[in-house]
Amino acid sequence: MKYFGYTLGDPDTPMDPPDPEMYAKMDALVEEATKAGILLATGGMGPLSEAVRVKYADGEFTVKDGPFAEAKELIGGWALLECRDTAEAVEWTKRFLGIVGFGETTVRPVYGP
Amino acid sequence: MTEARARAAIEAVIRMESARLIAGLARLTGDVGLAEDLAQDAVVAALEQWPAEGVPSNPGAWLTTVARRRAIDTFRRGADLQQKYAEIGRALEAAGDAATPDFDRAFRADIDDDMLRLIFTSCHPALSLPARAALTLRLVGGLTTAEIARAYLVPEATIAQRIVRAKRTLAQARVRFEVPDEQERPARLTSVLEVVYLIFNEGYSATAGADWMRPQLCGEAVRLGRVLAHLATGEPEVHGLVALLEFQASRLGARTDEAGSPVLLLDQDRARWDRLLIGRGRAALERALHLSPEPGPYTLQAAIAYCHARTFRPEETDWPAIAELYGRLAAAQPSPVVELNRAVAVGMAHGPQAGLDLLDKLAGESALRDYHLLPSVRGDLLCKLGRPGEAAAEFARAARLTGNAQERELLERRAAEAALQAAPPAGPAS
Repeated sequence: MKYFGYTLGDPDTPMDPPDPEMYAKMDALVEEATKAGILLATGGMGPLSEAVRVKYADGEFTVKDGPFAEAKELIGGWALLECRDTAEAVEWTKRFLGIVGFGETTVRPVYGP
Repeated sequence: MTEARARAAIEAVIRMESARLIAGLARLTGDVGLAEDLAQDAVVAALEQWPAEGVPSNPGAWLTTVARRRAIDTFRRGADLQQKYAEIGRALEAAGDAATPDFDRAFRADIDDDMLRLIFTSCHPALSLPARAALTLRLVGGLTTAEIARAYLVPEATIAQRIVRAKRTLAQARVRFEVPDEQERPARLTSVLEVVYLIFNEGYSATAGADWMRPQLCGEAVRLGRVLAHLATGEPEVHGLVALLEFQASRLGARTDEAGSPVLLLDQDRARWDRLLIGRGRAALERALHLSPEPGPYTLQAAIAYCHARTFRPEETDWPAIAELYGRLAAAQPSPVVELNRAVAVGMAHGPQAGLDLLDKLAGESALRDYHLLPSVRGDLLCKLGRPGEAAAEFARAARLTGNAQERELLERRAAEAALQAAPPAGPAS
């Protein structure tokens, strides 16, 4: 089963400056998960100030530039995993958050195509 | 957190750590069977302690430490003393305290090498193919015997027996826990790839029973292949096999209809093919081709699969290219089954008569005598040649030969359709 994990947060909360030790640990985790065959794809999100929101309603397109008013947004990273079950996806997510030090990641099953 | 969730979390952690734990212990003990016994002791301890104390922050190190202590205890107690335990206990005791970070680091340092050794050992040619598959799922996949039994739809005792015997065979044959040397390596690697492919195929087209697929086995095989590809990066055929598995797995969602009946490749809804897996397959195929100017059988099969995967509409399929690849595959690995597939491709590329001519050369092959796909393909080509009466007989024969209930149903339907074409029921005169 595929799982999509993404981290939500308040974009206005300042993030700690990049910590080389954390990066090294994260690289090791990515390597481990890739070698275990469970990490299919992962990436980081660009800033919301560079985001665009495209809306289509009543036959009209509206394109709005970020940042947006909402408090909770998809920030930081996301990962597409292929795990045997939800419990396994949760364990990998715990290891990810353990390195970041804090945060909240939503893990959702991916259906299809 | 509910109790069930806590239990599932513990089991997931154990499954994730299992292979590396066994691999590390096997290096220390030189004995895969003993390593698994020690690992099992540690797992039992974890299942007792973790529910109350919580999962430790470094579960792998915890399990290793417990397994190691168990070995030393057994040695010290001297009860039921086996020579093997004694040696290991002595060696481990000399290595210092189990809880030191140095030990953990040393244990983990060569983990990739240990994993590769574990794969080569559990796929050792001294074992029968089913034994290799069960042992590999247990030791490398980290599945319990109950999980393996469920995936294969057999009683747990059957799998447990198979694994016990496999471990005994390895011990009796004095199989060493090592990566084979250069001379032995190609044959041993073939044995490994064969196991991974067997597991996949067991899941992809269940050979018996009512289920057409057991997707869990496909998933395990793909995962094993990916693990192997990161351990044996320079082996073209490893990447070839991974490519093949990724392409085949990309079609899993399209291979059955809503009722669970099989849908043939050319009838599949290609929008349901998993593009992500196709992309991964293409990358693996490129690696394989880059590593070897003379593609091996898995790489050639992957190249054939890619011909289908890259095509959005079946009528755009490059059949001449596929027929040519089958020709190369037949040269690299002569087999009546490959010839049969070549006949299908040739039939598509150069007309059904050309396919049938190739097929006729296979008529005397004893290996294909009871193989349901031979009459099935004949039936298909005869249909296209406008010979539905003969086609119906071939489909009926194929239906009798297949062991898969879903496939039998499909073949019986085709037999009935062809028979109807051959002798349509009398209708009103027109």
